[in-house]
Amino acid sequence: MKKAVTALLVLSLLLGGYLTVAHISGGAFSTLGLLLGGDRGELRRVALQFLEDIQFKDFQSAASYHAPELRENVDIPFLIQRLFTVRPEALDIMDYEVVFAEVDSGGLRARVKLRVKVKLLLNALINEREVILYFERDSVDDPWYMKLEDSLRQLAPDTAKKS
Amino acid sequence: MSTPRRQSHVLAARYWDCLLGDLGSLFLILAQAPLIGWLCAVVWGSIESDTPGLYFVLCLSALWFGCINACREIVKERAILERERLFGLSTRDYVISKVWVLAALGAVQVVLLQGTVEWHLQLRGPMLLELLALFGASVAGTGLGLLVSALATTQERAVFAVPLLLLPQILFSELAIPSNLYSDVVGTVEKIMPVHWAFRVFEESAALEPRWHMVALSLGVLMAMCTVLVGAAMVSLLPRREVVT
Repeated sequence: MKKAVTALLVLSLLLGGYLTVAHISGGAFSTLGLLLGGDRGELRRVALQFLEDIQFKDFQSAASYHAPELRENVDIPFLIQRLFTVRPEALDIMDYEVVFAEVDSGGLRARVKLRVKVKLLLNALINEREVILYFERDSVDDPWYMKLEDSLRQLAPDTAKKS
Repeated sequence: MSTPRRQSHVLAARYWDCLLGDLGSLFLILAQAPLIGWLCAVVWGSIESDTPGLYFVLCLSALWFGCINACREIVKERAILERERLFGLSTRDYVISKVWVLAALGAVQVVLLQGTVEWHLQLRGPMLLELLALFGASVAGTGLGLLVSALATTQERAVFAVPLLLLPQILFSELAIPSNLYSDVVGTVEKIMPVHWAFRVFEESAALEPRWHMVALSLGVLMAMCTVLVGAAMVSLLPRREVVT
């Protein structure tokens, strides 16, 4: 009985220690489904959910990570085409993982680097892309909004400036 | 002396107590892992990506940990070993007790090493598999260290031998020259280097299309190397027959 209690205590301590490390690391290690990791943990979760939405071609849900005023206008299939240089229907996202997530010193801007393994269905080639998703928020109490549309939008050239 | 199975338990407990009796040294042993991991994170963090070079450094570090932890552990208590052998101490159980404790120490070190790197930069490939490869390299290093310790006559000589064992791991690797330029000899020697097989696990599991049978083969070879090295350490500790002239 005493041995079982000791073993349980040691296991609890190890689990608690691991979860503490996972939290402090900002979700760099698996949090076993718990909402740990602070801002960086939240950003990792959002970035992974976004890629899962793209993987399953749920573009409406993928647009929902953007600021409310942008959601209606975000053209996710177009952005995917720009990002992977292939039409969404010819793209199979096989695997993805977060390389790192970081928040700026002010705590209002963030970026998440992802590694995405994709298969181009037209030629059955597998390759890997690194993608950086940018996020921002108005204050530290606000939720994070993705700036994917902003960072990938094809800007119209400013004719007033010299190229 | 107690039965062989009990012997290894008693010896491991005694060895563990000795380690815990010198917490300063134990701390230094464990602290080197996150320190090297942090240095790796600083270097590879500057390109925000992992490369085969990082995998090689991790594997070499794991082998280094095992080797340096073990290289003095037999030679420093040689007199005690000889005396206790007169009372029935089993050489095999003595070495096994060392391997158990040093492997546990190595396991903690590789978790700290890879954990520190992954904290900053997620590596390609499954983490558990890579931990297993690093643990294999660490245990192979332990075997190598114990063999050196069993053969050395003084602690200083054992420590001096460690770089001589580690440098060939670098020289006979793709870090020195690309593998397609290897001569037959270099290619053959590379295959007896534990770091090579641990590195293969990293390389294969990080590939776009991993060949899992190669991962299994590499881990198998690594385990075989651990067994052979520990076995060699046991054999070198067997009492030598005295020749009376």
